[in-house]
Amino acid sequence: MAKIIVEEINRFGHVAHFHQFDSLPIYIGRDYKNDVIISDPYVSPKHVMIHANDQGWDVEDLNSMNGVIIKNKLGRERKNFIRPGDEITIGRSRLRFFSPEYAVDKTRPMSHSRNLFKQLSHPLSTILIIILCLAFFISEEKLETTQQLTVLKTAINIFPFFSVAIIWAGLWALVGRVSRHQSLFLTHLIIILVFSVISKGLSNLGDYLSFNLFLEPYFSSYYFLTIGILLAWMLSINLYYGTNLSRRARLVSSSMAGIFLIVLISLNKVNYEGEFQSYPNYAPTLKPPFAKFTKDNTVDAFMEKSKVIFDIDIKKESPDESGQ
Amino acid sequence: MLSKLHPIKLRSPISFCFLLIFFCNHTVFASNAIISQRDDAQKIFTNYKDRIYQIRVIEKKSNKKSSIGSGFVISGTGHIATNFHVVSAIVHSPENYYLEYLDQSSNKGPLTLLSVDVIHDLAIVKADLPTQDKLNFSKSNMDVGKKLFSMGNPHDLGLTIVEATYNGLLERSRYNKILLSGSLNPGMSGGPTLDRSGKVVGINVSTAGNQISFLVPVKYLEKLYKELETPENGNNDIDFHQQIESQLIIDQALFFTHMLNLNWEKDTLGDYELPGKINQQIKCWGESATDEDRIVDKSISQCSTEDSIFVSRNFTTGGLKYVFKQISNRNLSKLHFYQIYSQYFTNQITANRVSKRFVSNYSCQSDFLKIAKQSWKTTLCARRYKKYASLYDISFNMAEVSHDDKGMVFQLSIAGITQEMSDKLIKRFIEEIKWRKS
Repeated sequence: MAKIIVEEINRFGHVAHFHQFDSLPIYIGRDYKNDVIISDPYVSPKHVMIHANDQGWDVEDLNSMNGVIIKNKLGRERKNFIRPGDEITIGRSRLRFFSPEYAVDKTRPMSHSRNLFKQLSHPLSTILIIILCLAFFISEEKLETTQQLTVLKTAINIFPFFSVAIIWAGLWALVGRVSRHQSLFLTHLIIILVFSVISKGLSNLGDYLSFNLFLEPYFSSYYFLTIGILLAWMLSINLYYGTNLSRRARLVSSSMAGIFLIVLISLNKVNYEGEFQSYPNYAPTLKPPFAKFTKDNTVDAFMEKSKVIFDIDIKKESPDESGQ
Repeated sequence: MLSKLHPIKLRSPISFCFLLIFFCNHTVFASNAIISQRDDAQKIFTNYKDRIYQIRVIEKKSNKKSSIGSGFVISGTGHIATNFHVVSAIVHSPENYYLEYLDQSSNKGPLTLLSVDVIHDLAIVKADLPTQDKLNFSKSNMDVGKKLFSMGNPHDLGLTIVEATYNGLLERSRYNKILLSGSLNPGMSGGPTLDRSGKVVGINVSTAGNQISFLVPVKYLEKLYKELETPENGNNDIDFHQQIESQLIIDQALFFTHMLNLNWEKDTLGDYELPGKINQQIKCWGESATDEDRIVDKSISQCSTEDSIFVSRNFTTGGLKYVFKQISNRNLSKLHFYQIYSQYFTNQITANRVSKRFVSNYSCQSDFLKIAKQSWKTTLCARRYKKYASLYDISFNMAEVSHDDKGMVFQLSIAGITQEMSDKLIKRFIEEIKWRKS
């Protein structure tokens, strides 16, 4: 191949410089006799030479101190061989090689029609969503309280949550600004608001289900599982808007975070598992008659069913303290 | 409420001072009128002080006393009576403690535990003593107001004698006790209370402060001693845990069977007719709040037995407690009302106090039940005694969920009951809850 384009890539994955050459071979290194001069202290004065080959190029290491790492996009064909689109790392610097025929990605539209959150981040709809969220959280707050709520009290109770949401959105806006030249603060704000409402809604749903189906022992597991999944989902959307990561990298990193949270909470739960509690541990949740869909049992049937709780294995929990 | 007398772990200088002041004042303001009684006390002290011992529980590793109480000779062959709570450490951790007596001339000697009565807090120990005089049991009935003399070792200060007044048998106590007006102090547990003729009428057991003290009637000690003398109980290797378990089982069977045979007093609360004060041993308290700044109206009725059985310092049993809470909405939405109502369904009532060494965790079963024509969310929880496997603590909780604007919570807590008895008692409670409207 005759023509070659060399891309220098910065650490955000962006292209920092282009170099175009009509003839080969080309030399790459730190000194000023090279065709591509790289000011990286880990690159040798004469580091590599790129030869022409049938369908690509050969990378020849010129006895450099730190060597060359070759990343073949379509897998390695033979040693030191690269095709258009492949990447090498010398020292701490990344270089990518293209031929003029290489097809570039499709042009992105200025706004995606599929981008739900980005569309919602129109200032007007943002205000609407914030108002709806406020209304939701205020009503939740009202349900929890045992006193008459004043406006000030409500505001004080809700303030911490909204500040966390704003800080979260702000951080992602910063990440977006750095890596994508686009902050999208409102989009990130809407993402966290919508997910908080969903998680609260699911937890309420869990309340109703466990009230009817006596799922109290499993309720905390259900709750933490939903929190973990929602967190992973939200992170993947945040990553989508805030970074240039590939789909796979987004999925992996966000699900790792979700799994990490679930594992952390379950470890904590396992830790408390055998702990002695002086009071019976049942959920006191009660719901109005309309929410009850389980049929009433008879007293005798219940007493019969309750026999199992008397069958407690006391050998298992051997006394572990001595003295009185 | 009541505090057991014996465990003295540290002797604070302050309590020391208080006692000194008390004695000073007493001497200064003594009037002639009580001199003759003082003579009685003097006579009794001189005559009987040799028959009273300090009982010490010694920790094996440090060889130091872990707690002390008092005891008195009840036979010519070295049987000494004391409280079970004085010697309970020996039963629960025989590997860590041993018993020792200390007489008035500071002679020490080992003691062997022979028998216990956990219900009435009594124990009989045996010392290797030369034949000597014993204290005799009083057989006569007493009148309220009779002068009595309590002896023991308060705060390890040496043998003292306290004048006190007999105030009758406590009928409203689940475990028969004598009410004594006089100051019993820690360390006097297990000591005798004598009448003027030097006969034992009761064994010092506990105090509620301010001159309110309690004695175990001597008849229970007499019974325990008689049982000990029958040949089949004469051997030395009694399993005390077995003895305690069978005593607890018999006691709860007697108490609850009697309760089930009674006609229960009725109470009304809201739309319900409910069990009130079931028997003499139960006391009930009421509370209602309808003040303006509340968002719901509530009225609560709470009943419980007042005393309990001491099994260990970290384990009491034998209590019964039940609460009815009627909650009604003022002007909240029904969702909000139920949110508040749920808070009254949390369980914070307990009929006893116990550490994890003695009980398992609670295990629970829930369901919706149709009771008194209404729907109730019901949870029954039980925890088992690790050393007395046929006994449980029960927590039965139900909340009515049939109305948008009002609710009723019933919570029953029973300590130390068999599964069979708890079944009967819960069913009876449920039967006694009736809807008043037709």
